[in-house]
Amino acid sequence: MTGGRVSSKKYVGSKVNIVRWRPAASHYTHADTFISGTWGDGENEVCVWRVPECDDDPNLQHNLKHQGNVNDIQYVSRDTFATASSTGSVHLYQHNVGGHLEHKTSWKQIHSFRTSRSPCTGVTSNGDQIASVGEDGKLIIINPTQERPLRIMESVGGCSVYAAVYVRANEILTGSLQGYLRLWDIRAAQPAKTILHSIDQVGVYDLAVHPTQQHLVAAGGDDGALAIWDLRHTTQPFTIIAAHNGPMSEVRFHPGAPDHLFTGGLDGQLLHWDASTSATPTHTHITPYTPSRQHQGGSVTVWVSSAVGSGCVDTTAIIPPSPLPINSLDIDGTTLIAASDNEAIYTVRQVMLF
Amino acid sequence: MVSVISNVDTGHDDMIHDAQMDYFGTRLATCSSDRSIKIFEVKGSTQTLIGDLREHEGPVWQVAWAHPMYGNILASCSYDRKVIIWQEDGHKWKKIHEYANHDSSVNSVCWAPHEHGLVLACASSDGSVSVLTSTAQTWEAKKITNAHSIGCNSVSWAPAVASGSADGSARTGPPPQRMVTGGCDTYVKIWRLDSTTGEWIEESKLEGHSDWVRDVAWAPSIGLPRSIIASCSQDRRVIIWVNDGVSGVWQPRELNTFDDVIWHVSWSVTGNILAVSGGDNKVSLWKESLEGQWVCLSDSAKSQQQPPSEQRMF
Amino acid sequence: MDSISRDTEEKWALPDPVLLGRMHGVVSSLCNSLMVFPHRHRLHHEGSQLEPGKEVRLYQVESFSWLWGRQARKLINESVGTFLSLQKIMQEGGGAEERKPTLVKKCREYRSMIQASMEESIIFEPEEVESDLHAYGQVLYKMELILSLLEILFIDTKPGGLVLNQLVVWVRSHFPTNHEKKSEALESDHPHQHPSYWEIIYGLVLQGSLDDVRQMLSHHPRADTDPFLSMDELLRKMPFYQVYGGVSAAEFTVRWQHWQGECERRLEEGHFATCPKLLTICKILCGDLDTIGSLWDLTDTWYHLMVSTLLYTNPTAKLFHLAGAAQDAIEHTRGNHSAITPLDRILLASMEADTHQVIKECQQVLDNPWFTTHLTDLLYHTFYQQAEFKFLGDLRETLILEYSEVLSGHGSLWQVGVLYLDHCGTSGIAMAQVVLERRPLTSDAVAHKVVQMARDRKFDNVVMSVCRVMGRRALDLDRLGSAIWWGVRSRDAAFTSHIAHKILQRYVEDGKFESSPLLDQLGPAMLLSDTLTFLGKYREFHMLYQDGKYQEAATLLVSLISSKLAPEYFWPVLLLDALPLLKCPKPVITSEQTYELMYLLNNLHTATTTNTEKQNGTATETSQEAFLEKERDIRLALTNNLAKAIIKEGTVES
Repeated sequence: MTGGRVSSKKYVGSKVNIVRWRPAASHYTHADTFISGTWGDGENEVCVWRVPECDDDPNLQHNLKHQGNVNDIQYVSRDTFATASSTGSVHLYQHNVGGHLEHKTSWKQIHSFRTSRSPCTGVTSNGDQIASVGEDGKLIIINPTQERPLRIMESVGGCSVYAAVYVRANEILTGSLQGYLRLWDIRAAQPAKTILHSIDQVGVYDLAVHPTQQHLVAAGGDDGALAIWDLRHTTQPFTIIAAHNGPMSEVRFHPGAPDHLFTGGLDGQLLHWDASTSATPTHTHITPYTPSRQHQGGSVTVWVSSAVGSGCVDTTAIIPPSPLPINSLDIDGTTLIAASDNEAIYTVRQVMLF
Repeated sequence: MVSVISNVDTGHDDMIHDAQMDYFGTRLATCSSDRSIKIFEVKGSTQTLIGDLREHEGPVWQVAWAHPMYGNILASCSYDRKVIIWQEDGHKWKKIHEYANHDSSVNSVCWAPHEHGLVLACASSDGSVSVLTSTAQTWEAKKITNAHSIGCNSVSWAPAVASGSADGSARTGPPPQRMVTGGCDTYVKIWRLDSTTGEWIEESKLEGHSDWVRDVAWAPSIGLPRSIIASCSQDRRVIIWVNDGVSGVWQPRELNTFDDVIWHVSWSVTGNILAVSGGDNKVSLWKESLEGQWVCLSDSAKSQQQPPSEQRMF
Repeated sequence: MDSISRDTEEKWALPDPVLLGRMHGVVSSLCNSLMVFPHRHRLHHEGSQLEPGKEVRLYQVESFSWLWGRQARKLINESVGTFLSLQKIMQEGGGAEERKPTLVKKCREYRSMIQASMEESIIFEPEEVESDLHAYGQVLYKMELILSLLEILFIDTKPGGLVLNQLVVWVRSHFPTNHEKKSEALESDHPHQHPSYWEIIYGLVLQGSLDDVRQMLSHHPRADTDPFLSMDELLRKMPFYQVYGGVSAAEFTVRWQHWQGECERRLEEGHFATCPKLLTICKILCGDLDTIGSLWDLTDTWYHLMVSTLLYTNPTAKLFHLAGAAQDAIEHTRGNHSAITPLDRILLASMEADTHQVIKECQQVLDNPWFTTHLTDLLYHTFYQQAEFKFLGDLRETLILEYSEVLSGHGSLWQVGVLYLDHCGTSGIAMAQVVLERRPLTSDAVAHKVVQMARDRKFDNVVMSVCRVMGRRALDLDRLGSAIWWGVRSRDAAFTSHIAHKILQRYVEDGKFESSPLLDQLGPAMLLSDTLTFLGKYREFHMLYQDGKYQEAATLLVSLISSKLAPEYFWPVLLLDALPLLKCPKPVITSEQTYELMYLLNNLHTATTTNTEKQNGTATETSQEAFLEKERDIRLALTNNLAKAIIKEGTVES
C-alpha cells in the first residue's frame, strides 16, 4: 500500500493550525483545492491553496486576514466554510469566482468566560446549521442566515470542549478536556447522554464519524491513543489502541475508503491506520465525499471486528516525524495534506492505492 | 538595528520609580511619586492601561508580581511605611492585604520563588526586613530586626535551585530559602532560613562597597551550580559576587566604576544580561563573555547628545 | 554586509524632553524588546521635578533583524530540521570517515536552503532594488559564499589537501556572468560581434572554463587559421588534476609543467604574434602575473583573482598556500587595506584557516546569530575531538543559547527555540525550562503544547507550574471542572484540596456537583489529597445510593463519617444523607455504625450550638439551619434504626 507514496513539504512562513480540502466539484472528481488557517502569529490568516496535477508543491491562490488563531475550519457547503477563532468568534467565508475568498459574516465572541474571552475550539456542520464549541463549555447552534445564534447550550462545571461532530441531523457528539463524550439532541432541553471516555480523564482532542456507519466514532485523546466508539454500546469504547507519544491533534476517516483512518499528533507523527488488511474482508464502497455526510447504507465496517477489538490494526508513519506538532490533516482521494508547527504544509500523494 | 516601536503616555503625574513586567511578559506595572500604580497590558507593540491602583499615601517606590500560579497578585511598597498586596478579580484590582508594621519608608519588595509558597520580603529604612507568608486564612509576618543599621535599601531572593543540579532531579527535600539585602551600612548580606528553627540567620556579610548599597539583585539560575549577585552603590561601583557552589565563598569582581552613582541593577529573565542604570542618565547592558569577562553590549546614551530625529543606533 | 554592520557596543538615544537629563529606567522580559521610561530613584532629588504639562511616556525599544522577515521564517524552520538530524547522526557516533559525508551533506543542505531563499527574494520583488528584501538577498548571497568556501577548505577536504579544483568551481558558481554572457553571445547570429566577445573569453579563461573558451573561439571567422588552431590545441591539452583520477600529484605536476612549457615555447616562437588577443590568453596560460593582474577588473574581487592566479601558477595549491596568495591578491586589487569589507575579512580569515576569527567576524557583522550558530555547529562537529579546536565547544553552546533566546522571544517561533536548547548542555536545559514556563498561556491549546514539550524533556517542575497556572485561572473564573482537571495534573496536594473544598462548599450551598462525571472517575488521582479522596468517595456513595445499593452505600457513608476525612462543615450533610438510609424498612446500618453516628451527632450538636454566633460563613450557615431543623428527625431515626438493628443482629446470631 505504501509503494508509490510521494510526499513534499512546503514551508509557508507561519504555523498552520488547520487544513481542509474543499469538497470536489462532482462525485467523479477529486478535490484539488484546500484551505489552511494559521495560529500564533501577530496576524493570522486563512489561505486558499491549489494542488497541481504534477508532483509540485501547492500554490497559494489567495489569503485573507483572520482575527485570532484559526482553531478549526468546516465546510457548510462547497462554497462556504466556517472558522473557529481563538477570540471566541465564528466566521463565515465564501469562495468567489477566480479563487478569491470573501468574508461573509461573523458571530462575534459568542464564546466567553465570566470576565474574559474564551477561545472557540471547534466548528461542525450538518450542511444546514453550524455548531460551535469552546473552552467555555458551550455548544452553540448557528443558522448561517441568521444574525443571532439559534441555541446556546451550556454544560455545568465550566469544562473546555474541544471537539464536536454531527452524528445525525439533530444529534451532536462533543468531546471535552475532562475526557467525556456528550451526546446532545439539539431539539431536546438537556443533553441526552454523557458517555465516558476513559477512567483517567484523558482529554478528547478530536472526534471523527465514520462516513457511512454513523454510529461509529473515532476519538483521539490526550494520551495519544485512538478510541473507537460504537454509539449503540456506550458503556465503554469498543477498543482503545495506543499510538502517538503525545496528545493526538486530529483523526480523520478516509471519506471514500473508511477502513483507512489517519491521525496526527503533537509528537510530530502522521499515522495511517489500515484496518482492511487485519480484519475480515468486507465490501466497502468507494464513495466520494459528500459534505452532508449522507448515510450511504449497505456497507459493513471492519472497525468493530474482533481483530480491531484486540488492537490489531496496521499503523504506518506516513512522513518522517516532524520535530514539532502536526496540528491537522485532511484526506481526499489519494492525496493527504497535513499542517505543522514547523510552519510546513505536507502534501502526500498516492497515500493509498485503490 | 534598534528602534522604538511604540510609546505610550503612562498618565503618571510624576516620575516613575519602578516598572515591572509580570511573569509572562504580558503585563507591566509602574509606580510613581504621584502615589499611584498603573497596570498596562502589553501585546506586541501596544500597551493598554487596564488598572490604576490608588491606596498609598506617599510615593510608591517598588512593585513586584507574584507567580501566576497564585493568581494575578501584585505587591507594592511606599514612603507611607506600608506594603500593599493587590489581587485582580475579573477586571478589578482590590487590596487583599496591608502590612503596616514598619517604622519607616518601605523601600523594596520581592516575591520568593514560587517553590517556597506565596512569600514576600520587604526591606525598610527602619533597618529591618519583613517576610510575609500567605497561609490559608491570613498573612504571617516574620521580621529580621536591625538587618542593616541606618536602613535597608533592597532585597532579592535566591532562585529555588541556586545549588544543586539544573533539572532539580538530584534535589532532596525542599530547596533552601535564601535572600540578599543591601543597606546603608555598605554591606551586602546573605540570609538563610534555618529549616529547623524557622528563623532567618545571617549567612554571609559581604564587604566591598565603600558607601550606601543602593540595589542588589540575585541572578536567575542558568543551570550551573554557581550563584551570582549583582550589587550597586553610591560609591559608583557595580560588584558581581560569585559563589561557585563548592567552596561557599563569595568572590567579588568589580564590573565597572561609573561616572555617577548607580541606582539600579536588574537581571534578564534568563540571567544572561545585567542592566545597570545610574545617575548619569544611562542604561547599559552587560553580559559575561566566554572568557569570564563582563562586556558592555549597549548603552542608552545621554539624550542631549543626539538630535531629536535620530532614533537609531549610530 | 556593511549595511547591517554592528559594533559590539551600541548606543542609541530617545527623543523625549522628559527623558532629557534624567535617569532612564529599563525593564525587560523574555522577548526581544525593552521598555524605557524616565526614572527617578527615591533618594535622588536633583532635577527631578516634572515640568507642568509634560507627559511621562513609556518607550518600547526593539532590535530588528532580517530574521523576522516572512522570507527568513522558511529558513528558520527548514534549518532546524537539518540541525537536528545532524546532531542525531553525530550522537550516534562513528569515525571521521563516517562523519564526513554527513557533514558535507548537511552543509550543502544549509547552502541549498539559503540559495532557495535567495531565489525567492529575487522572484518576489525584483524591481525594488533598494528594498529590505534586496538587502536580505545580499546577506544571503554572502552567507552562502562564506559557507561554500568553508565547506571546501575544512569540511569536504580531499586527499592530499589539494583545494584548487573546488575553488575554481566555487568561483565559477558565484561569478556566473561570463557563462551567462557566453550563452547570450552564442545565441546571436555572429557571436564574435558581441561587444564583450574577448572579455567573455578572458573571463572564461580566468575561471578555467577552457571548453567554453574553445567553443567561443570556434565561432571566430579566423578560427581555421594557425594561431587559433594552435591556441585550441593548448586549451584542449591543459591537464586538470583529478583527485581520484589515478594520477599522483607529482606525476600531475610533471605533466602540467610540460604543458606550460609548451605554452611558453609557442609564445616565444610567436605563434600568436598576429593576434594580440590570443597572445593575452597565452600569457594567462603561462601564468604571467602581470597579464592576469591587468585583467583583475574582469574578476570583480580579490578572491576570484587569487583563484585565477593560482590556477595558472600553482595548480596543486594546498590550504596553507592560500594565506599568502590571498594577501597578494588583496594588495593587487585594493592597494591599501582600508577599503576591506567585513566579507573580505571573513574570507581572508577562512583562507588563513583561522576559524575562530571567521566566527568572530560573522558574529560582529550579522545582526542575528542564525548563520554563525549553524556554521559553528558544523565546524564543531568537523573538528570534533581535535585539541586545538576545543574552543569551538563553548562557542557553539553560547551561540546556540543566543540564537534560541532570540527565537524564544518571538511570539511564534518559541517552539523552534526549545528544539535548539536540547543540544547545548545544562545551560540549554535551564533556559528551555524558563522559555516553556514563561510562555503566555493564551489558550488550552498552548498549555497542552507547552506541557507536551516539558513532559518530553522530563521537566516535571514546568508541567507542574503550567498546570497550576491553568488551574488557578480556571478557579478564578469559577470553572471548577477545569480547575480540578488541571489541579490533578499538577499533582499539587494543597491546590487540589483547595479546589475540592470549593466544590464541597458549593454542594453544601446548592446541592449540585460541578462536573460530576469527572469526580465520579477520579481513579488513582483521588489519593492526591485527603479532601479529594473524600470528595471522590462521597460521589461514590451517591452513585451506590442512586443504584439502590443501600447496604454498600450505608457502609461507605459510615466509614466516611468515622474516618474523619470529611471537613467539619460537611458533617451535617453526611448525617442528613444518612437519614433515608436510617429509615429503610430493612436496616442497612448496623447497631455499631448507629452508635458511631450518634456519637458524631452529639459532637456536632455541641459544636453547632457553641459556634453559631462565631461562624458567619454563608455556606455553613445554610447547612446549619437545615441541619438544626432536621436534628430531631435524625435523632428519632437513629433510635429507631438502633432498635431494628439490634433485633436483626440478635436474630441472626441465634
